[in-house]
Amino acid sequence: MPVDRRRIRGPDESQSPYHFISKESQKCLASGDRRSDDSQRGPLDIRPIFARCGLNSQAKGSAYIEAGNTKIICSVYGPRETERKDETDMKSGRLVADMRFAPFACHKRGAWVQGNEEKDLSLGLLESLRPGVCLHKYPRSQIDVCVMVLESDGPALSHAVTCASLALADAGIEMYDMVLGCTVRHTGTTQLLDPTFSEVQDDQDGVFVENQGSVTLSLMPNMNQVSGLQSDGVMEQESLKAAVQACIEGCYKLYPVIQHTLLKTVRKNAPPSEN
Amino acid sequence: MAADMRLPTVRKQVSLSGSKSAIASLVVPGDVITTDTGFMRGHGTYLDEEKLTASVAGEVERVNKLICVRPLKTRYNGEVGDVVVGRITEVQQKRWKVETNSRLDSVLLLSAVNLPGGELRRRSAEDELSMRDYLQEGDLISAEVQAVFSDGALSLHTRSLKYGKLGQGVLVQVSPSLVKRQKTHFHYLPCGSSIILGNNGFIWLYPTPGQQDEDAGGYYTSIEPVALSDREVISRLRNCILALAAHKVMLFDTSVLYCYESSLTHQIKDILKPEVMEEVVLQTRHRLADQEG
Repeated sequence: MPVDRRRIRGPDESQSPYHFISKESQKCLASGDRRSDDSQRGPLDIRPIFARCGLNSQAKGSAYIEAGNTKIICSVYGPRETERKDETDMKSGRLVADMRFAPFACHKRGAWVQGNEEKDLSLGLLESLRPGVCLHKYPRSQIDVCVMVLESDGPALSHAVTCASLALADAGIEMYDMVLGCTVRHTGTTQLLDPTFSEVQDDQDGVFVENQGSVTLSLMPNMNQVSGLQSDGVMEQESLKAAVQACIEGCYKLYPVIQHTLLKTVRKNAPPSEN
Repeated sequence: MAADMRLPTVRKQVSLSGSKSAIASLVVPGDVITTDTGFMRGHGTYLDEEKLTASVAGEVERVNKLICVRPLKTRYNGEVGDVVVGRITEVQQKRWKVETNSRLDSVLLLSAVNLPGGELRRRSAEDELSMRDYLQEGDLISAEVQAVFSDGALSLHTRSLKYGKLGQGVLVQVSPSLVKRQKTHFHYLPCGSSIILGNNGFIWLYPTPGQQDEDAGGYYTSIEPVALSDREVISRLRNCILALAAHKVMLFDTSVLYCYESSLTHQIKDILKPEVMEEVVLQTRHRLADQEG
């Protein structure tokens, strides 16, 4: 068999160097009250949020949110008329939600084409937002919500829900209430609200910790209704209940900031009153 | 070709209007406006167990017993009798679909247009087949709202000689809330061009026609070249309208005219620069305030 002697080739089998990185460099669990990211927050504090509306002038409504290192932008288009495919469209409108991660958003480079995880997250986003929007006021119409995660540090779904409802409010779509999202990571006996990426990956030592999982919850604060709940991991019933309660409180803490952002946008852009 | 470049700087917002009682109540969706049951609810609100709650983010407006919330971005909500400017998007069996910046496309029925030549007769099958000869996809028309369907779509008609297909001119799109409701929306501006202020935010600027072609039924569109002076007037008007819209000044014939006159000292292309825009709008506001006061 002819062998190529002119070129120097590497070994026939090669493996990614990521397999060999020791993950102890990411010590996560907090000692006492400090979290892994050096900020001053305790285990039940959410990260400080920066939010602005009206970022994208082409879209009907848009919003940008930053929570720690997580950066998410959302654009809303619509309501647009759809062709009447079936009778259900005649009575109420349709909400279409799409969540994408930019390829540079995570530690490992992702692909532009939507994978299964993104489809799941889009569905979760849709389910969380739908109860909040007055779809019966938009018959035969379709509202498009497009979320793009620019950088993801921790579970992005909860912040995406918040960003999407800010964008919907910026677009003037009628809603029963704002929908806010929050995530809790439960490991053993500790609960961490609004976890970062390193706090979510905490089984690196190979030691299996019992009773660990994440809960993402979407809440409508004024109506006090939960519109979306997702959890993964294996948790005891009491921990799950405590995690849900912690999420609800986290959402209530988030509400004044979001309200303030929206009022600021309204104040800046309010049309002149007809006197 | 000269190009103009500038570095981004923070611009201070020039708040020009006098009345700042607009720090009235601003609400976000979900905020309770009132628990008093004596009020009627208008747009942008819903009733949740005796509590009147806002469903959009905006200002609360109270007119006697009616409470409504005006959102900061609206689509056009049509009322009967409004003048609109729209673009044909589809030609269907006995009607045209017109895009008017509202939630749903508006409908222009074949029976609601004037036939060319102004005849009054029952529409026949040949009329249906030659619909595309009258109005095609992409044409601009001016029309009046005849009725509003239950789902919010508008039914338009062009049953008057002042409505119909629009010929040469410039379309400017602004927010519908900036166009003031007046008795007439067709104006001949003394500066030399004409304007149609559509209630849906579409504004049409066109050169004043020399002689009216009355018997063409609104389908005669002149394709003669427009003189340079007319073009300059129309370009300046367009930039003025954009300047007024950027500063949220209500648009009606007087405000557009004042803005045009204030802008005569600048070149047409300079009007779109932020500082020139502010200066021109400030002068316009002063003149309008003087006129009222």
